[in-house]
Amino acid sequence: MGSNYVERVKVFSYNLISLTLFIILWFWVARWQASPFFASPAEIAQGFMQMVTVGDEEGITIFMHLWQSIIRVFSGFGAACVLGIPGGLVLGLFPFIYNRTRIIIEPVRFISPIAWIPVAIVLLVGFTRYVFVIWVASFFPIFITTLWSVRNVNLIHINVARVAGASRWFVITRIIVPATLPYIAGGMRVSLGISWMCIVAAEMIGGEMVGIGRLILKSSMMHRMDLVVVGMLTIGILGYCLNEIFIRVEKRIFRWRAAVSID
Amino acid sequence: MEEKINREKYKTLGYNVLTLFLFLAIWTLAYWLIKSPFFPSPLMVFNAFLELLIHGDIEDVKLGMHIQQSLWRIFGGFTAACILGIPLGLLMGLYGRVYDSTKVLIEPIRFIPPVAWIPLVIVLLVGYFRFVFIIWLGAFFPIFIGTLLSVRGVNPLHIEVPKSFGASRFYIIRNIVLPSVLPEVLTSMRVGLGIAWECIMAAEMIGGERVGIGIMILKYAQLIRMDAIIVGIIVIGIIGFGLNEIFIFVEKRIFRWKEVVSI
Repeated sequence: MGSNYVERVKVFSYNLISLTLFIILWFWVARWQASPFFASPAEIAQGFMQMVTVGDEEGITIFMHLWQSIIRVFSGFGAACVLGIPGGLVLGLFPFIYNRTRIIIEPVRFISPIAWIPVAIVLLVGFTRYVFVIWVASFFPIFITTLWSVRNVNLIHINVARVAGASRWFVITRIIVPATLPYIAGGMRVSLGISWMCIVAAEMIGGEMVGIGRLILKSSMMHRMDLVVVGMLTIGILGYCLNEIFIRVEKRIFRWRAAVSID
Repeated sequence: MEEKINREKYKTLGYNVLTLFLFLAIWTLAYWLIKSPFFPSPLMVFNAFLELLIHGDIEDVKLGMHIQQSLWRIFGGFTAACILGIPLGLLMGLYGRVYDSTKVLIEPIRFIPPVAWIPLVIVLLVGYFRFVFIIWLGAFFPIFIGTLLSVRGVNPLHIEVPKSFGASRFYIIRNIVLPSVLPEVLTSMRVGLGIAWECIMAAEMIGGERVGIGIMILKYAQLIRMDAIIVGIIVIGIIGFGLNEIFIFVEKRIFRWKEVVSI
């Protein structure tokens, strides 16, 4: 137990050292480049302070930007879960539907969310545009992982229950759903990451002035590179935090899994 | 037996064609119901496709040229991602301490979407490198993380046995680690290629050039020519799907042994 603690402190301090090294390197490169478009860490810290206290050119602080973006991302992600999980379960249980509609589903998967933007602008309005673009990005990871996890449920477990006279409903609720849950959670985590990464694409649609992606786009128009980097770092750090929180929750909920898995 | 499998294949194909027709029929019906100039019918999209293929777009650039340019860009970015991602993933997988100590830098960068880099890329890079950099960003992390995790997931038993027989570190890396991670490396390359292709829109948003499938969509988005936009979207989807299928085919061919070996 003690050595575990020491190990953690060690890893933490190593991380701190590499972060400091990285910032020093960045300072150096900024010094050497001496370009107004290459912000040094000090300028970025200033930009961040400005965003926290005063806000951007329109007086919108970073918290308002973030809050709006989070609402958009979670609406799109929620829509993706609501459609993707049941859809994946159904198509996993009845593989012939997936096999026969593959020609439509598969190519749609490879269309990037940004390519949908012109369509979203013309066909949708307001909040639904953001939700649609984020939904398009996050739907397929959830849907496909759910579908695959249903197909990969251990056949022995299903057949044993069947031999013992279980009904189809029993097999689904007691065997397939519990077996697929960890994979579904994994798929949800991946697609939460992807939908968070889509926020810039979604907010490219324009119209509104609030949102962390908007902040990047606005600042880039003004060549305020420090604010652009502040926006990028905020997105990166928050995405990382969301992912870590999700992993923790997953580990907690599926504690039984590590103990159960035999193969 | 073979005949039966063949018949099953044809059946699936037939059903797929049927669904495609059904989809087109529903689309046409929706077109009649909505009657909006921004909602083209399949026929209009097909006409736009022929026009783009034979006469080219508003600037007389043919669809083939657009696709060729985009593929060339993807190739550059994807190759760069493989060259950097696979060796780095192998190294960091073998020396877990390096990854653990720099996690604080690597992980947040992973969650910065390629689109958010665009303002910086415009300022700092020129020409072909802009496209390559954006696509590299998209494809690097799946390849890098996939390789890293696969090295960590090598069966310890396979490493311990030769070790106890006195195998050198180099021998273990070459004859045990590399062969056992190869299938997973190829899978992560496939995922990376898919993401690289999805990034083509983001990359070509940078502007400047006149050729590229993403640029074509953006050009027509400004004219609100929905039929041509949908042609672009469908072409992106089908090429992405095609690339993925080719990769899966190659994977199955190269790693035929894998299915035989796995117990």
